Amino acid sequence: MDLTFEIAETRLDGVSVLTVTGEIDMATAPDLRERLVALEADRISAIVVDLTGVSFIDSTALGVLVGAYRRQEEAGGTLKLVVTEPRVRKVLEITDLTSVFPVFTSVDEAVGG
Amino acid sequence: MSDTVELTIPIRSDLLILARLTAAAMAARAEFGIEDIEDLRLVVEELCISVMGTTATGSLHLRFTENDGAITVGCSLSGAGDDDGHVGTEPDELSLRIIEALVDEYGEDTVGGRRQAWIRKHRSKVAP
Repeated sequence: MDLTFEIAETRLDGVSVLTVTGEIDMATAPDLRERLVALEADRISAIVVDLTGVSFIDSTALGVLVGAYRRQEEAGGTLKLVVTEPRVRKVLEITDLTSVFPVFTSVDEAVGG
Repeated sequence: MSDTVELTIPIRSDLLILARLTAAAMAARAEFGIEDIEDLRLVVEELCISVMGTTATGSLHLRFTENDGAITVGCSLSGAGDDDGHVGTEPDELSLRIIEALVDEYGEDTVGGRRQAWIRKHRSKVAP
């Protein structure tokens, strides 16, 4: 269990990659939302959220990602997820969000896909 | 014979981790597997979120009971409410899907205008 929550941002080929580590829960989801809203305000059209280092994700965090995805879609942009952690994939599958988000297994795939 | 642990925490998002930790500890003690423990941690978080709704004051009261390879968790609010004493909202769709997918039983009701909810999860049987 990694209790350290961090968000790092990098740019790859014009795509903004948010690398999230730790647990995204009701306490930390607002930080993720803030970072996503900041990217939207900067009119970043391609966003990848790398959840490879995320060990826990709840419905609050999913709601933040769904909201950002919908806003990006409305603005003509994209939001993709990178998921390798089985727990995170399981939660996405339970909630049927694998049919909403484009989900990749590496940042390179997501940036190129 | 059953064991019961009760936990009362102020309504603060950063304290929900205490509910998750208690759930994990109870499940580990009841010899749940890793997958079941992680399921229970998530479900308890969702249970708290659904009972809290948009309430910003008061406390969450959780009651964890282990009995015959099952853990029951009840969650209710105390000392919270708007002017009418009505607190809590219906759990959102994502939260409800998670809870219903990961537990064996789930129930909720409203007592005195306050939502309360409970779940029960049995230890998964391990193939011989």
